[in-house]
Amino acid sequence: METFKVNGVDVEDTFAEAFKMWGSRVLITAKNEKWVLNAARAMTGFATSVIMCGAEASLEKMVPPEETPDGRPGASVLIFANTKKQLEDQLMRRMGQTILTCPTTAAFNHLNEGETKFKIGGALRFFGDGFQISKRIFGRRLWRIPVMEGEFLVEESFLAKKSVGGGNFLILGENADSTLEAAEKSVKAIEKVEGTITPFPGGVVRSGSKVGSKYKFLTASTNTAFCPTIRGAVKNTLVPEGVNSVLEIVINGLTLESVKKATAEGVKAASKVKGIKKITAANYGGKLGQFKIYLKECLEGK
Amino acid sequence: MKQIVLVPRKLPSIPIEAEVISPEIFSGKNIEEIKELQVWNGNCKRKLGDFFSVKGVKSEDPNETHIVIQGDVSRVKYIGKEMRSGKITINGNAGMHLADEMKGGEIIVNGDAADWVATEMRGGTLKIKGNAGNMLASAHPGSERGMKEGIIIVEGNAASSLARKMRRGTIIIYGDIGDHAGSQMIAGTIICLGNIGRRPGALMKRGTIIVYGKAESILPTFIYDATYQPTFIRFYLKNLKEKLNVKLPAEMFNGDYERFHGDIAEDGKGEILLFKRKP
Repeated sequence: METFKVNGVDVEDTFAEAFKMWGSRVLITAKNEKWVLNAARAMTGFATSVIMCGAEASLEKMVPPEETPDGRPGASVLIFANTKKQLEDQLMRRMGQTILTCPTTAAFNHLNEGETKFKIGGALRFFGDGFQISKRIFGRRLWRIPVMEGEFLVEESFLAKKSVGGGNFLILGENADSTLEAAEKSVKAIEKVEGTITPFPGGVVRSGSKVGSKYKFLTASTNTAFCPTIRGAVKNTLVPEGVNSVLEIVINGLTLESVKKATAEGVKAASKVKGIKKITAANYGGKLGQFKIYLKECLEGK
Repeated sequence: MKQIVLVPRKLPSIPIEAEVISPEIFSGKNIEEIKELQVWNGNCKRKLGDFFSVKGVKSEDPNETHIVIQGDVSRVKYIGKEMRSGKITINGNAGMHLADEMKGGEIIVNGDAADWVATEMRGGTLKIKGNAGNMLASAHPGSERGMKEGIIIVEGNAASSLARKMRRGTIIIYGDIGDHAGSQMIAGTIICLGNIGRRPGALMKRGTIIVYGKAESILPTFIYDATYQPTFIRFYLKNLKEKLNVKLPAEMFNGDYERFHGDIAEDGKGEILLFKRKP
């Protein structure tokens, strides 16, 4: 496969295969950052992949008090799912069990536009058992739900929009330390790209998968072509000589453009780390996903 | 916006009813046509031009029409009745029934406003830099609902019977409010930065009365619940500050409020939130 250079590192001229998803953005506020993060971490916990978690979610960014609707510290959380129904279900479950339950928090829709909306607050209000109070303030309907601690404030509706999931690239390094360092720097760079998240732990995936398995009961299994420890045993290995560790960065975004920009920023950051031998992307031949995100186009800003 | 300036001549002691002073009615008319608009003086039909000098530039679009009244019109009723858009600025005192059933746009009074202002208001913004009279934002006699939407800001005091049967919307009074505020209130929010008189919220079903100052008395049909920091107040105040430049004491944002629910002689789902000063 043809390659091009980024900061002296070979980058394969290939594409990441990405998928249509539905995404929402929730703004969580609380008394202080500690409780904002308690809620945000709980809400986005166990949300690395829709395959087993139902949703892919992560903290997008911290929001300073000046920019939140109630003047308290906030965190913007992005959450994605395959269908509108699944996203609504996940928002209900996660907001009901993690934000409603967390002391001092409030939750607001944080998308300006979307193709649909879900009445999350409008459903959570029933927890108030008839004592909930509605307030419409400057065109936004909020629900005040009495709870043991005081009152939970939640917006009635949360917007959702067509989004992109599964943007990715692989970092191939000469050892585990340099590869992890490159992945961490990628994630740090991607954090600055608005509207994107890297939903895996610390933003990094160590166990990329391929479709299918030798076992009939499994639909996916370890990406043997990129596993260095079985390089010699796998006929179709894609691990070059001198590469001893591979990590993947998976990117979800509210728009295709944001995923492309995040890919470019991530690749550039990773390529600056000593010991990185190659960067490539994972795809299924372009047959499964609706989007082909070419690394070269991303880096050329197209 | 294009301005039409009205300057009152010596007005008669019998009030004038001038609901024609509205951006929708002025838009598309030239100065001569505006002067010909009919008003009532007692039981006599008269022309607007009989009482006001009119000058300015006409606009075809009511949204772009700004009526400026230069002088005291405290004996002129129904200015801005049912207006939907545009702007009226009164550089003087305003008469009764200003903004009656107002639906949109903005009215600014750089002076005091008389009784029965913004009755059954349905939208838009009314700012009164001075004091407001009785029955502000209330229901017409016999009517089931008072103010239904919109925002009213009074920088001075508001007299008695504010917001009777209020259904929705926001009222902010920088100063004091007289007796019987929010009586028979159905919903909506009143924010009082001064003191509030007797019997606030009498027979209210739902709705919120927030008081930063003192309440002269709370009816026995309001029950104390708890002292807490309502997050929605922070949301409310921040929006008012940022969107309407409402001046609010900083301690209101983080303060403790005593919650009383009532009126239990009615549904009991209304509330009075009294700011609690730190000792």
